[in-house]
Amino acid sequence: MIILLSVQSVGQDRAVLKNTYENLSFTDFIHDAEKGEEIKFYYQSQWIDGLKIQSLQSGVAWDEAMEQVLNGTGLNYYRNNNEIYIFPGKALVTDLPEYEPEKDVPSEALSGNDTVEASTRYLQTKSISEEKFLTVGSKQYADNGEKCRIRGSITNQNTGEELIGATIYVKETGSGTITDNQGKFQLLLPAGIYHISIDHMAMKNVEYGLNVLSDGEVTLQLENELIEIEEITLVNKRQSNVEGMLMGFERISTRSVKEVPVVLGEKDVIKIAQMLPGVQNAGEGSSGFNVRGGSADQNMFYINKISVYNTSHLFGFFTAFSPDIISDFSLYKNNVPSKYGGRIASIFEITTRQGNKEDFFAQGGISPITGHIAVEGPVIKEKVTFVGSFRSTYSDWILKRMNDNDLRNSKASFYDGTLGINAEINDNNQVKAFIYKSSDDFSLSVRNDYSYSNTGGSVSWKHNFSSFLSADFSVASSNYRFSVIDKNNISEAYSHEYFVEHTEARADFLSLQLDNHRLEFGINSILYNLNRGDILPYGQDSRRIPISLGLEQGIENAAYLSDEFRVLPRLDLLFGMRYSIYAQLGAAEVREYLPGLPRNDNNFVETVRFGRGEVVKTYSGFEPRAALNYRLGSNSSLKASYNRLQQYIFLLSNTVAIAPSDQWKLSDYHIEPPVSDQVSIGYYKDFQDAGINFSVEVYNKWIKNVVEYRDGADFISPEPLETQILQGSQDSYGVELMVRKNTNKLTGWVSYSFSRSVVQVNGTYFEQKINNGIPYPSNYDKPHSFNLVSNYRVSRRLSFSANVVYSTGRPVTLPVAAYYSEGRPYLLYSSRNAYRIPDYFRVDLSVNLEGNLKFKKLAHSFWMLNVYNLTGRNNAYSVFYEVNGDQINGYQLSIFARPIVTLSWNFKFGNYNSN
Amino acid sequence: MQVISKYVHNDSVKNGRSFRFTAWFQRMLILPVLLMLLKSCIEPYIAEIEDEPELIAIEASLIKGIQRQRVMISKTTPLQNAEFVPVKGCTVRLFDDVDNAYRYDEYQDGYYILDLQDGDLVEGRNYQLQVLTQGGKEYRSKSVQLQAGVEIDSVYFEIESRIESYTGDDLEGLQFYIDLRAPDTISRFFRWKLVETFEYTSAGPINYFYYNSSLEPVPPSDIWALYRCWKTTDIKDIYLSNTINLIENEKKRIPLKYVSTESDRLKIRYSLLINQYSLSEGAYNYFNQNMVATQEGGGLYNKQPEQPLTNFFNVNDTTERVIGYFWLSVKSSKRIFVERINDLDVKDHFYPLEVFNLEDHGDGPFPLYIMEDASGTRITGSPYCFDCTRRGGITVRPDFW
Repeated sequence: MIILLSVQSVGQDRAVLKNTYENLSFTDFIHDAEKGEEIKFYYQSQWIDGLKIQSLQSGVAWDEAMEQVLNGTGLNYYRNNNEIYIFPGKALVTDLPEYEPEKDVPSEALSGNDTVEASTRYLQTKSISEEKFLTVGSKQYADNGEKCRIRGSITNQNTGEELIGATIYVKETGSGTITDNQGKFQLLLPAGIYHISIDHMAMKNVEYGLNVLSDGEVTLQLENELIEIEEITLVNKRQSNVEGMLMGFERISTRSVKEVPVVLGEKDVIKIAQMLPGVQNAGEGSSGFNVRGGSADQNMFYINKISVYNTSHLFGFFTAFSPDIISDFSLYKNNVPSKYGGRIASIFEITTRQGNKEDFFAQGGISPITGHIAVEGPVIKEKVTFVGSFRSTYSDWILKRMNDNDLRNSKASFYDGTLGINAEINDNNQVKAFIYKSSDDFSLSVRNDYSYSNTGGSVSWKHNFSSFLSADFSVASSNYRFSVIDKNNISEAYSHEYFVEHTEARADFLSLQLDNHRLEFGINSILYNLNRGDILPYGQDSRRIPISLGLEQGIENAAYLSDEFRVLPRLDLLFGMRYSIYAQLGAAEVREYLPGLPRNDNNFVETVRFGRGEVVKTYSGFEPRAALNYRLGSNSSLKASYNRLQQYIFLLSNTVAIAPSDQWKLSDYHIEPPVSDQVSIGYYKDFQDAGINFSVEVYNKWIKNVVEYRDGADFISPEPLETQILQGSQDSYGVELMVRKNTNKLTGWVSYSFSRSVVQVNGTYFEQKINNGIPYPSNYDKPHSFNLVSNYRVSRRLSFSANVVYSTGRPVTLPVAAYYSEGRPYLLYSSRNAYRIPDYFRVDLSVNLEGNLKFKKLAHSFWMLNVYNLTGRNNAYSVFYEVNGDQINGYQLSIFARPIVTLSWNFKFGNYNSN
Repeated sequence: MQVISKYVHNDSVKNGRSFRFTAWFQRMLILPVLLMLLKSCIEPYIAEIEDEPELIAIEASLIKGIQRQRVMISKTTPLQNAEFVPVKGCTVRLFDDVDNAYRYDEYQDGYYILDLQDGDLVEGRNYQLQVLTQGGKEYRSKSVQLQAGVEIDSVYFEIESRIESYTGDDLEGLQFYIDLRAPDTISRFFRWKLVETFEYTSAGPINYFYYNSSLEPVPPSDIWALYRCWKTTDIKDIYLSNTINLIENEKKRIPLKYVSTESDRLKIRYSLLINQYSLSEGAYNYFNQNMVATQEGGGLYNKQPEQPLTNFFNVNDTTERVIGYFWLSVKSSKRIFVERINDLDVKDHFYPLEVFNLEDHGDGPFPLYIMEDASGTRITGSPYCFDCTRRGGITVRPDFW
């Protein structure tokens, strides 16, 4: 552990021993000295075991005495007035500490004798280790009574990357803070001695003594958590959820969830996210997820600033992000930071590994479905790193060897890959580049071919203008395309290629003001470019009418400003404002209808043509964000937030699960952007000693212009979309309870949520109503949901993990009556979503075995035996009715209807410590 | 008596008429996990459904090409006891737009008939149906135009195999297709109703019966009388297609019925009568929604069931939900025959035959059917094996056969 102290100029007096000590153990000496002298020792007892004191005479200076005693022991010390810190001296400071003098301080103030002497003495030791002690500022600048401002940053010692979301907790004040997205933090404390503890989910927890003399800076490096020590905590080890403004927020590192049981042995961040409170999905094997009752297209997925429009492989059974390169993910369910917008339910942000600055490192694995590998290492040591990953399935190879005709003629394959480069040009400039690709290709017998892919790249530049102001500039572009060939009928066979491109430029500024204001501001701009594609006849015999679904362009610009500050010692406030403006751009042909009447051919008036680049329609709005955090005590707080979000692009989908042929569509002349307003209140309590976080959040969310579809909507027909789309309102509300245990052998979380989500589409005319205008539960309305995610570590090598997942069945429309016609029964359906499929319940188990733990071994193995759906319960994916002859039969379809056992093998090649 | 429930009614097998995406997908995933680690399943499910108020359902069509027009009026029933609940004593009238009015007769409870002459139904003319119930409610259909129909172009079959949803087995069978060729001047929406007839035989002649435990052999008047049968069934599945996405009003290879070898339909001779109807868009949508709601569940990407839009309304209360669609069409028909195809592995579906012995068969049940083979051995078995009419057919050869 290396700690760099930015300022080390401590006033030292020439303190001497009052008494004489002879022939006693060091432990006894400390004991006696702390009684008889005005001195206090800080140490760990195992270091000084067996150490003896020969003779120490009264009147000898403490510094001389300590040097004499510790000489040759491998220990070192540091004295600060009446405090002596003892630590092993093996880890050496390799650089001189940095010191940035405050500009308004005359430089001669540095030349005090005491300071120089003390500094020199300190620098000679060149080591501060396990017993960490930091001094911030110097006495010269100490302004009695005024609070000192400590600015710091926290980085990963092993890889050099800054650590986001680390918690800094000050024991004496019971307050703390969290590092921002650049790994920086700020504390305001009166001068004095403090004990702080720093926690980060993937890192070893460390505690420091902190001697605050005046304003100053510190840079802290945390070590990866090593398996040899305790490793594997399920989630944030001891993260505070009391501090900060964040609520409705989850951050989880892949490292921390690597033992969570998963289906078919594929680690999957989205499947893990689905076990968080407030997150649901349409069913096993459906892609994406539903946050607080919203549809799946209301979530924005970013991987290193690249937007990803289809996050699934193989229809949604797997997620299109290779787990090997994911460092962590964040999910904002409410109180979305002002810098984000564009989706009304959530922002899901994936951060990849930055690459090891020191050594090459590879990891990967084999599961029944895929093989995957990731490689990283330095390009230029300490400066430039790379990370690359590739994952591919081999099911296609197996399919080709099948006897069955239908299967041999089928294929299914997917792959994804990434490559990232990070360059730390200097302390004030960091440049990152990242590219991402995922691709799926499958055909069902001879009837349908599907393929789709995401391709994207981003470049970002972080720059510190000063210690007060930093900025992040980025440009990212990504596209999602799919192609469908439908060969079900030779006369009607068609092909369809769809394309959407999202190009985003951002400038995000962060300013930490002296008076404890944290200002964020910036601008961003998104250019949407869609080609909904052409429906073209496929094959010689097809007589399909070619249809062009059309091109769409749009631009979304936004500017934001937010300020987080402390108004009272216990009260923090955040005010943010985002203004977004969206324009649909030509060329376009817009069909005008009689105002207020249903949009159909009868009410059609005329077609208006817009030229290329011409603004067809503009939507704009302020999106206020506000939050407060009131600390009830040192370990509990009350938070509240309000935020508004607008969404200018949505998915054309009238199925419950997202289908591989669903198209994204921009808001246009007729279709207004959905807008959500969300209010939430939460209570948070940390039990620091037990390592338990408790939270309860209540929310209510109102969405207007939510997009629904009239019966029989067909998105590849020549019928204009505005005649098929209806817009309504949605009301979602709920309570989410969560208890996390982050330390010791048993870790994990338990969550329960009660939530409802109701949609109403009630236009003036019959054609403008769904369900006769009566509110109905949304497809993702699952009132009760319970999740348990747990890990029990038996030994350093062996652990068990278990999940328990329960939720109310999703709503469904079922037949409620029958009638006879033409000699057979027909079915009469209920009002929309009036019934539910059976409740969902699943237990998963995994046994995780590490290979032997020799630190220097070339390769490390990690075996994982997974049982998904241990009880083999037939959880219904859907319920449907069919009429067979005279019989009315109800059926339920289950996807995974028995326990699925998989064994997967993962390896790490190179420095184990790197991950 | 030994009872082996080996006889499988084809109707009870959920056959994969429509290609099942899920079935495919399940098997897809099974493969990589070679040990069949995962398996999805479709199993019966009965939901608890609250009672819904009864609604009136009017089945009414006007078909040019048949003489007797029918209207069936019934009430909806709870799902678990679905049956025809007639609405009796209605007055049913038909009006056209040239001031003709016709009145239907109640032939059976809830079953109203009207015999029309060919000249009564004229293409291009509008017709409206009126129903007056005993309770004094008046329902009317919208006024509907009779549109021209078109002759059937060609019907053919191909040997295909299908995955049975239940068993997961591949089964061979005949997939019938129809080609559509119609002028642009007529509707682009079509429906087909099918009637199948097939010839089959029992296990052999009945040489004599035993009527009681005295085991007195009674010879039948004709030992072959119950040997050969013809069974004719209305196929109740809905077959629909349209050409709205196509340049011409023509379409090839529209799938009709799939007849699997699991049944004995294909053993001797099989015939399919295809009745083609051109539809209005409204009628097409009505039937299509019903078809989706009753025949095409169980996919991964199911849509919300749609409420079929009726063209009936209660004259005094337009908010009342009425079920049914008054549809008009010109019918054209075609019959095809399929002789036994030797390549096809048609399954046998008989109870096993047994050699008569006193211990097993001497106590009945009676009558016992006895067949003697060439050596005089008495063979008996289930009545299903000896009396072909037990399996629904009649012994009268149809006149078209």
